[in-house]
Amino acid sequence: MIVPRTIRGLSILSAGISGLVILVLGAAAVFISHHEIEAQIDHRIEREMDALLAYHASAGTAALAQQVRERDGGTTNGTGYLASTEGNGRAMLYALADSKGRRIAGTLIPVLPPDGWTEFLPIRRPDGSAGVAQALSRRLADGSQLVIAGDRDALSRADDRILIVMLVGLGVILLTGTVSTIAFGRLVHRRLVLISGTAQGIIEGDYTRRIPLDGSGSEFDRISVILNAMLERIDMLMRSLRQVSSDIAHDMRTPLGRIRQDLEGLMLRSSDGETIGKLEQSIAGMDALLELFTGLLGISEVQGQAARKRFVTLSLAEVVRDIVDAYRPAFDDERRSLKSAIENVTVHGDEQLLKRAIANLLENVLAHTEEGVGVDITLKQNQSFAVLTVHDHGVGIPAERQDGVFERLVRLDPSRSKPGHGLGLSMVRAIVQAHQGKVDVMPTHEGLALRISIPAIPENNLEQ
Amino acid sequence: MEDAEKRSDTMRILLLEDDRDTRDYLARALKELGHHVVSESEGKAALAHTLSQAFDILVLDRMVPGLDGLTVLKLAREAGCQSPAIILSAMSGIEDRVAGLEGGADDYLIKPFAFAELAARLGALARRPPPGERADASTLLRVNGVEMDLIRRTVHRDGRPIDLQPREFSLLEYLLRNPDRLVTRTMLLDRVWNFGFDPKTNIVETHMSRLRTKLNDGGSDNLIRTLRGSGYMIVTGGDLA
Repeated sequence: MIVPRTIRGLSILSAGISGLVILVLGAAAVFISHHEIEAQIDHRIEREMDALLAYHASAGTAALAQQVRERDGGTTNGTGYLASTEGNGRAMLYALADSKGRRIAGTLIPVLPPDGWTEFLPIRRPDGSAGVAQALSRRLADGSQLVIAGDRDALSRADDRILIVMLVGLGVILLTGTVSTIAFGRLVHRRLVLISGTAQGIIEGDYTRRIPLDGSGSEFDRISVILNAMLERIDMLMRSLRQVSSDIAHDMRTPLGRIRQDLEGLMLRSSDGETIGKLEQSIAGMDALLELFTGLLGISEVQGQAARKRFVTLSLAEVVRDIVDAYRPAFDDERRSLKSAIENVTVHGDEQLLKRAIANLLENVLAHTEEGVGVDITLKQNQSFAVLTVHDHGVGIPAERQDGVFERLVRLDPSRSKPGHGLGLSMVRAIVQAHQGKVDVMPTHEGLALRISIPAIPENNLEQ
Repeated sequence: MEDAEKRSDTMRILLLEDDRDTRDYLARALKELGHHVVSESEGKAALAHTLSQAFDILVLDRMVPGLDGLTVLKLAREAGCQSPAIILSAMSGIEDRVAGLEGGADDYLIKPFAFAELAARLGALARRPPPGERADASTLLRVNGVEMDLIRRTVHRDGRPIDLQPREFSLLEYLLRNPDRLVTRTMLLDRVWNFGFDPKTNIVETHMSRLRTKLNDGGSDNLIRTLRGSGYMIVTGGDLA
C-alpha cells in the first residue's frame, strides 16, 4: 500500500476515510430503519386483518363490506415512527371481493393482489395521488377475498431523510477536510518558508542566520530550536576553521617571510653566480610551496561561499573575452589555435572568481596537451543557463578517469613530474558551485571538453 | 616629468610591522633606497604618528597586536589622513584581500613577498595623484621618443605610427606613466588585466614581447628593459639595453 508522504496526501486520505465511515454508517442506518418501519407496517396490517376476520366470523359478509367501505383510505394509530408522522403517508387501504373475484367494497386498490403478502402494490390515495403499498390478502371461509394495504410513503420518506442527513454529513466532512488541508498546508508552508529562507542564507554564506521562533511551542518551534543549535555549531566550526586558517597563515607565512628575506639578503650580497642561482632556486621552491598552500586554502575559502555576498550582475561574455584576449598570445606562441564563439550572457557572480575559473580551464589545456593543440571556446545561453565549453583537440582523458579530474591534488600524470599541483580544476569546480552551477566532462570524440553551466539572468530582467 | 633623478625621490614612509626581523629588514632596505622610514611595532603608536606628521605612504602589517593595520588605517582615514596605504598581510584569502581594499588600502601585498615587489608598488602608489586632484590631466605621454595620445588612442615612436591592440595600449600606458621605475609582473596583472590572482602562464611576458616587437619595428633600440625575476622598466635616459 502506498502511504502518502505529503501533508496534502495525508489530509486527503484522512478525509476519504472519514467519508467512507459516514457512508457505511448511513447505509447501516437506512437498512435498519427501513426494516424496522416495514415491520411496523406489516404488524399494523396483520392486526387489522385479525380484527376484521374475527368481525366477519361474528357479523357476516355484509357487515364486513360496510366496515371495509368505512375504513378504506383512513388512518389508524401507528406505533413508533409511524405514530409521529401525524397521518401523513400512513393511509390504510381495504378491498373486499367475492369468490368470483367481483369487487364488493373498497375502491382505492385498483388491482387485487394474489393471496399472501405483496410488497409493492400500486394504489390510489384518498387525495387522488398514486402510491405504492404493502398488502396482505386472505381468503374468507366463503371463498371471498379481503385485502388490507398500508401506504409505503412513510417508509420512503424516512429513507430519504436518513439519506439527506448522511449526504450533508459527508459534505461537511469533505468540506472541513479540504479547509483543514488548506489551512494546515498554509501553516506548514509559512514555517517551512522561514526555515528554507534561513537555509538559503546559510548556503549563500551568511552563517549568522537563524530560524525565527513564534513562541508557540509547536512542533515547528521545537525542530527550529534543534536546527538553530545545529546552525550554531556549523557557525562555530566555520569560525574556528577560519581562525585556524588565518593562524596557520600567520604562523607559517611569517617565518617563511623571514627565510625569504634572509635568502634575498644573501643573494644581494653574493657575487658568486652559482650561489645566486641556488638561492634563486630556493626562493622559487618556497614560492611554489606557498602557492600550493594558498591554492588549497583558496579552494576551501571559495567552498565556504562567503564570496556570494559580493555577487553582482555582470556580463559573462566580457569576462570570457578578457580571458581569451589575455591568453591569445600564449596560445599563438605554441602555435595553438584559440577559437571562440561568444554569445552575450549575463550572470550573477564575482568577476575575479569567474576570471580565475576560465583562466584555469585554458591553463589546463596549455599544461596538459601538446604544443600545437588548439582549443574551441563557446559561450551560449541554454534556457536559463549560461553554458561555457572549453574543448581541446588533444588526446583527452580515458572515460574511467574523468570523474577524478575535479578532485584536489589529482593528477593524471602518474609520475607527478609535470608542473602544477592538480588544484586548477578543483578551483574551477569550487568557483562554479559557489555560483550555483556545475562543471562536467562532456562526451566528445576528440580531446577533452569541459562544460560549465551557471544560472543566467534572463534578458528581460536586466532593465533596472 | 623627464627628470631622470625622479627615481631617487625621497619618501617619508610609516612602517607598521610587529615582527622585529621583518621590520628591521624592510626599514633598512627602504632606507637604502633613500627613503625616510618611521617604523613601529604597535598599532596605537603608528596611529599617533599618522596624526602628528605627514607621510607620503603608509606600509601597514595587517596582523599586529593591539590595533591591527586595517583599524589603524580606518582611524587614520577618519582623522583626515589621505596618504596612500599598502597593507602587508599573511592572510592570503580572497576575502581578506577584498576586505583590505574595501577598508581603505590602495594596495594589498601578501607575505612573504620579494622586496623588489614592495619597492615597485610603493613607487607606483606614491606617483598616484591624491584623490580629487587628477594631476595627470595631460593627455599626452612622452618618453624617449615614444608619444602616446590618450584621447586619440594613438602611439608614435620617432614619428612612426604604431598600431597597438587595446591591451597592449594599456600596458604601454602603465609603463609610460612610471618611467624609470620597476613595474612588476603582478602589478601589471593587477592594473592592466585586473587579475586578482597569479596565473601560471606568463600572460604579461607574451603580451610584452608583442608590444616590444611593435615598438622596435624598424630597428629602433629596445625601450622596455626586463629586470630578470622582478619585472619591467621603461627608461628615459640614453643607456638603452
